[in-house]
Amino acid sequence: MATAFPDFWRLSPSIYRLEASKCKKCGKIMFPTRKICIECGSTDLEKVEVARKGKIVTYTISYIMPRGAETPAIYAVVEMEDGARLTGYLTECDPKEVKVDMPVEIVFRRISEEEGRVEYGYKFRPIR
Amino acid sequence: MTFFLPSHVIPVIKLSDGPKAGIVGYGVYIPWCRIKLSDIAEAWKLPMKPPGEKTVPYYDEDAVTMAVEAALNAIKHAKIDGSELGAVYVGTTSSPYLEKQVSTIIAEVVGASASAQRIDFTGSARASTAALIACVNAIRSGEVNYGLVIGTDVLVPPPGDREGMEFTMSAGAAALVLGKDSIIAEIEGFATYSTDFTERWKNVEDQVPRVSLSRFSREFGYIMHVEKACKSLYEKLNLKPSDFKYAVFTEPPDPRGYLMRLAPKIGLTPAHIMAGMMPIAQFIGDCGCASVLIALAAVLDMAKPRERILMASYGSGCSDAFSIKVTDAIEAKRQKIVNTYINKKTYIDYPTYLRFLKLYQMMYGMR
Repeated sequence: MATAFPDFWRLSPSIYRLEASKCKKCGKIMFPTRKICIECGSTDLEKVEVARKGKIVTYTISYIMPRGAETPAIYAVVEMEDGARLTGYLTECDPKEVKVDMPVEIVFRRISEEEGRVEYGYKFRPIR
Repeated sequence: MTFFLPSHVIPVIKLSDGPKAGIVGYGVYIPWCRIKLSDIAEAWKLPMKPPGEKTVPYYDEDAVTMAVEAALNAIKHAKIDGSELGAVYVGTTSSPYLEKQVSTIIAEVVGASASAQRIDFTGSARASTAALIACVNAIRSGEVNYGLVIGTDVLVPPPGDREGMEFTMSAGAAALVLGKDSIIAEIEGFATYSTDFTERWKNVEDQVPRVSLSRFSREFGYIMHVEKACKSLYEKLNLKPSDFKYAVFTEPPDPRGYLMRLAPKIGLTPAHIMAGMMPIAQFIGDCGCASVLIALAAVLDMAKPRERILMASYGSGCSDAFSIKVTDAIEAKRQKIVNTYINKKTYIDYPTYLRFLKLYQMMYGMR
């Protein structure tokens, strides 16, 4: 489940600080950062931070997870307030209460642990 | 020729004479999960029904994740950008690593630059105030403009222990952004008193701390050390107990018993202490390094301009006392963060509590 460390380290600005690319031409926000806009093909991109609040677009519930992970796990696609789309786990959420369009916010949590190396990252928490 | 100074002569260094350092913003994080203390007593069939509750970190929370949320709250409150921080000092006794700094993780998340000083302070519940002293010194020396000081801890008590640790040890985090300008509370000065006193300790292989709680450790540990640190602060800054409106401390194992005995020794009344310490004692519990800073945040939430706060930490034979004076700028930055977090809660039962603190491992079948 854990990411290889070199990959994780290179992606850490996105994983830790939610760094994304915004196209200066068409305004599309892409997460994680990219070099070419997926909408218009422009290479004129700037770095922005993704908004911290959004709504669930779709989700799935997994009742069998790898060792050490919390079950059941809810994995969701979330559209943030600025239009960026992120995928990630939900936390502090009962599978019974999750629904499409539920407002969530980004929090920093433990994602996994392998060989004692803890991997941190973002998760979504229902706004209460 | 050797000169012996009488032991009561303390060199007078007044911080108020030099450049100022103070709190620009503060934030806390208190986990949403709570367990009622009566549920713990019931699980062990104890013949008592203690009032109150304590916080429990969620399954995927630890000292680092809580510190991040507190730090982000503090930076937002201070109205600065993470890249302006010159120091990220973290005090914790429950880092997930023995070797590897957690301040680097927190600094990356809040966006501090790679050249900012990132230091972990550890060893006792006083580590967060040791970090605070270091940061005040760094700011006063002109080395950094803004510094972030964090106290964070997840204290894991041994299940069913008879010292009552299970009724107090909890989790939480608090963060302060320190700076020179637009400060909401000035740190006027500090004093330390420490001896080699062993009362709560954890060996390398231990998952839970060990304690020796006796009348001796109460009188000569917590109470004596905090008393001496506070008295040396009074002397250093030429202050009287009546100059202080509030007093906050690291939560002792039995808050009411300890603090009521401590208060008259440092010239305070229960009213000074109750305002800041009651939310901690009733709703949060002892969250180690974080507890004194959360109590300070609770007082800053309600303090008025020009009121003075006495803050004293204690951890395994070390105590730091601070005099903090609230400035007029606090009214513009008024927040009620501690109450907001205290009111957000979900109660969990005892088996869930054990699972969240990873005190038992799930068995997996072969699949």
